[in-house]
Amino acid sequence: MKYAFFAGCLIPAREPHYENSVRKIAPKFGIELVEMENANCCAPFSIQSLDYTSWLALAARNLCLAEKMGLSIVTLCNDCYESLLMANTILKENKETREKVNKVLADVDLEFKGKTDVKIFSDVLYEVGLEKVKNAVKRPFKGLRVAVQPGCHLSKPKRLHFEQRMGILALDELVEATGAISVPYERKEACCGGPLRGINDEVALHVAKQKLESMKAAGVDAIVTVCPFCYLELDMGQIEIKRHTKMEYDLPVLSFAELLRVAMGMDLEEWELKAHRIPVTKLLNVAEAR
Amino acid sequence: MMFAVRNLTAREGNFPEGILIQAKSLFENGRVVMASRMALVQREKYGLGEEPSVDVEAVQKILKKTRFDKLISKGK
Repeated sequence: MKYAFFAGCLIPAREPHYENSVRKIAPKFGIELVEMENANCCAPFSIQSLDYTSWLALAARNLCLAEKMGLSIVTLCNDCYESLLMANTILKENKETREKVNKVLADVDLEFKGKTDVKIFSDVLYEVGLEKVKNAVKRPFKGLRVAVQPGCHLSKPKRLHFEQRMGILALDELVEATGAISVPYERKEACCGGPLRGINDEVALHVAKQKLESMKAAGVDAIVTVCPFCYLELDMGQIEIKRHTKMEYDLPVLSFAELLRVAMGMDLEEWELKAHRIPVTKLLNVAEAR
Repeated sequence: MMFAVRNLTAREGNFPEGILIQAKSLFENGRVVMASRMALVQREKYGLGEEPSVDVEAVQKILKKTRFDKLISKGK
């Protein structure tokens, strides 16, 4: 299975350990990631708030690059995923909008034809099959109680995700394929607060705190996410909350790719362990011993 | 509907500074987040190579066509 690999901005720039884990596990499932040369930012929804046409045209350019490669896109980032998926859906379904955007794209010698699809890495793994994922697990996280943090963008548009059993539902089952238990908690589908960063940091931190309290109340050992923004907010956020309120949650945050990689018997390197503000070493050792 | 309202507000130059920073980076670099020095060191250690390439010229052509450059110059 070949995919046009859309790394996005945040993961290569802030979380290369996440990207590294994906690149290590993808080939084990026959997933080939083909680099998308010269792709631009997805563009995120903050840009949509400024100017809808600019957002759509930039997303369309990325979709056109994948069309030229003759491949569907796979993303790692929830924000990129929703942005590209929404743009692809809008442009495929709305002729008037497609024509308007194609006039913009003509300046860069591109035309959106509607010949690509957009997936997030967890959904690609789900399509590979839960049995194959379970069979690849060598060191199950048996009994590890995990709060799955799907992130807002993994559930939109609802009609695509819930009809096809993608997004949150698929992620829960994938996490459980590693032997961990996806523990239900009250604010599971709520925002992590990350999108408010740079706009109102105080409110962002308050939202993250509510989320962490909900997870802690459910008695989890760790947080697992596929979203790089949620990862940053909930990992670094715990340090900030401790500084401001003395409240300590001590919940290690792992990307799903890291969880699966370790379960498959591939250890994290020293630099990757150091990238986590809330130490994950104890969690990984405990999991191995269970 | 919400985005239409936000777009109208943005045309008046009303948007948060954090969003303006992202928008300027998008126009100048083709991406909203640039790699930190630490991330570049980590990428090298993992054998991931440099940040993915981006065609800034193409991004700027698109954003000039949609007058995004004019829009962000109104940022307060």
